Parts: sequence; C-alpha cells; structure tokens
Amino acid sequence: MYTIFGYIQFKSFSPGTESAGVLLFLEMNNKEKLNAPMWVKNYADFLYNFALQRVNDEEQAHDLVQDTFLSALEKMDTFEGNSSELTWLRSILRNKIIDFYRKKASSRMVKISQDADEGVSDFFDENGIWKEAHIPKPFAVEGHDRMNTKEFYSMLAACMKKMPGLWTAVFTMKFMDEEKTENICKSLRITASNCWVVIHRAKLSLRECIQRNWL
Amino acid sequence: MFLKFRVKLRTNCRRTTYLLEKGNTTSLSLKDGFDMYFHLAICPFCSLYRKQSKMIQQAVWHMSKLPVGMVYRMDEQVKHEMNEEIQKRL
Repeated sequence: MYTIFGYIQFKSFSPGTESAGVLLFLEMNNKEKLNAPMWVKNYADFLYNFALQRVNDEEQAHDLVQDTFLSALEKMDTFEGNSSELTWLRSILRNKIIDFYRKKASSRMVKISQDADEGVSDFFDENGIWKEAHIPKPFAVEGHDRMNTKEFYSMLAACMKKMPGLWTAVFTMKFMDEEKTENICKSLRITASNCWVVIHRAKLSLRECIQRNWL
Repeated sequence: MFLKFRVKLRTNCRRTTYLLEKGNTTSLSLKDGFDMYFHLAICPFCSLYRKQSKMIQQAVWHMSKLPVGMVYRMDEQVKHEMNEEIQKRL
C-alpha cells in the first residue's frame, strides 16, 4: 500500500520534489519488500541446489526447502530489509540444515571420533604408512582444462554423495561456505579435534574416490 | 639408522595427512610443523597427497559457484505443490 502511495506522490509532484517520493519509498514496510508468491519460481532451484549439496538426500533436500519457505512465511514480520530476499532465505535454510545434522548427531552419531578413526585405519597400516592399495597416484588426467568440465563436477558430486552425512556437512561448510572450523564445530556441537578428524577422513576418501573414477 | 628410527617414531603418513588438515585451520606447534615438513620432504606419496588435496579443495569451492541447475535441478511437480502450499498460506 505504501508503495502505491509513494508512487502517486512521486507522479503528482513536480520534478523538483522527487526526493519526497523516494523517501516515502524507503520508509515502506520491510515486509512488503518480500515477494512471497514468486519465491518458488525464483529461488527454489537455487535453494534446492544449496540443500542437496549439503545433505546428499533428495527427499531430505525437498523437505528442507519446503520447511524454509513455510517458516519464512511465518517470519515475514521479522525481515529487516538489510539483506536481499535470497540471502535471507538462504540463511534460514542454513539454520535448518544445521538443525537437521544436530538432531542426527544427538540421536546416533555420538561416537564419531571412534568411527572416523576406524575409517582412517583402512588407508594406513599399523605403522601409519600408506597401504599398498591406497597409495596416492597421480590422477590420470590433470590440468585445468579437463578439470573444469561438466563430467568432472558430476563425478565429484557423485563421490561426495557417497560420504556419510556428517562428513558432508563439515566438509561442505568448510570448503563451500568458507566457514571457520570453530564455528562449524560449535554449530554441530562437536569438539575441534573431532572436526579435524572428520575432515581428514572425508578428504582421504574423496581423494581415493576421485583417483578410482577419474581416468 | 638413528634418523630412520626417529622418522618412524615421530611421524608417519597418517599423522602427516592429519596435520595437513589441522594446519589448514590453526597454526601448528613448532614440533608438529617440523615433523610434517620433514616427512613431506622425504615421502613422495604424502607430497602428492598434499597437492591433490589442495586441488580437491579448489574444485569443491568451484563447484559451489557453478550456475544453478548445472548440477541439480528441482522436480517441476514438487515445485508446483510447494507453490500451491505457499499460496494457500498467504
């Protein structure tokens, strides 16, 4: 409603008083900056992409995006207008993803450190030296041109899909969102050294997977 | 002989790859740093691992910056249902 009012003001005054119209436009309610009916059309793909890269489960990603839209509808009054609509929606989705992992962690993945340690011993023998089968070899195809192809990224996505949930969470938050490790650990409620263990394990298995598939 | 014993005792591939990860986020202690670089200097596999690990990091970062829809796209049917749900609640 304010928008229309501002527009009329803007039109009806002579060019000299343009600033009055602009001022009114700025004073408009923040809630009205949100264009809820267009959310799905404009942002669903982006948010789905964002969620799927972090949870590795299509059903779950759908649910998370839906939850995000619904809770955004409820929270429309709290939108301050400091950020763009998309940034706001994305931060809601991010918190939803963290909640999702936290719930998972509290229910069954309490013994992460032990599990992760067991996993690492697949790659190294009792002296901590690389096992014959897992020794790093140069990737068959290296070089920037081949790395940037669609096939490489879909292979990388497939490899990341194979990692257990929590690893993906820590790993993607670290390397995609460039979060500080302390923040990630704090929001997922795991200790810093466990965080490194998880990242270490994730990196080892991802590298192995790429070596096996990228020929 | 002494050197061999020392290397075996203080560092190995497993610890070095862990320290590489740790060193990414915090600064390592002098001892850890020495152990890591010493091992990297003598172990070709771990130095290769270090190179590839850096490359993977860059690739993952790059992947998140790809245009939307290149990797995943949402099902139109689900989108439609979601849209109806929102319209209902508005």
